[in-house]
Amino acid sequence: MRQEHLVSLNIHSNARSLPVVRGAVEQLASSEGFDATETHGLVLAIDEALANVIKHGYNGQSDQPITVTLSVVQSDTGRRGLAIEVRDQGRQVDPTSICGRDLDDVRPGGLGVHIIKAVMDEAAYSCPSEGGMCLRMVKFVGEHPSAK
Amino acid sequence: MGDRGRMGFTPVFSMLAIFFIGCAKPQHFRADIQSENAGDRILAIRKAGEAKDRKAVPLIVDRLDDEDDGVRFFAIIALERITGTRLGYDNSAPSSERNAAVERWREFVRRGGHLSKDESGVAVRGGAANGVEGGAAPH
Repeated sequence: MRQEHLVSLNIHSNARSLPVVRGAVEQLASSEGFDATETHGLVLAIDEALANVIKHGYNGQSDQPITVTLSVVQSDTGRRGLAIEVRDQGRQVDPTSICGRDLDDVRPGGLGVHIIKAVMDEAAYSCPSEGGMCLRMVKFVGEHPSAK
Repeated sequence: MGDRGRMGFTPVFSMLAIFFIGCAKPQHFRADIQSENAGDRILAIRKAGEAKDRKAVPLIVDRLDDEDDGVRFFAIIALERITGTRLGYDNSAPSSERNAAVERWREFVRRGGHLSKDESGVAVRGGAANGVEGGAAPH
């Protein structure tokens, strides 16, 4: 997969920063050819990802650093898409333990990971050796594979 | 005579009210374009772009070589929204390429290309998105 860096956004872990990231994602999604529904999905996914970092990674602290990196990617088969990497310096957890709760467990909240995986074509957590967590998400322009 | 006086007063009063309302709407976000906080700079630049605030263009041009990639990204989006051109600027290009584009933007501002025809006395020739030819017309 080829990747071309577009922009890195250094924000703080608070709701005030969210419009900045949303605005960048909307702008780039539109210029890369995502339709309105796909763009909405991308914004939803990044909202959920950042909400998880703030709530679980930083326990609600509002002044901690988060870096969101947006890149254009092209798959080996030529599909273009947008890669979003969310990097924090918060609490590390085993990536394999990160999964949404059972969907049959009906109560508010806790569906962020489900939403991210439903919207994006790829989503993977990792624990960088420098600390914190990294979430890399990719969405390609066009129909989501699970919709076929 | 009294009626004439009232008829004359109303339009004048309305014009003055519109004038003062216009003056009383300062673009508070302009100051934050130079804030020490990158997040505040981005938010202010976005507001200027949304308001198509031509008077903020020189301040935004100064942010095209901001140390923060995100600020540069939103600066060129706002400038394109306001003026209709990018003058070949790419926020993630190597600094040598960016510097050349920044210089084109500074020249654009020096020539008053960001001002409306009434303000600058020159015609703005916009609409050349991503191009380098969308500057102000020659004097």
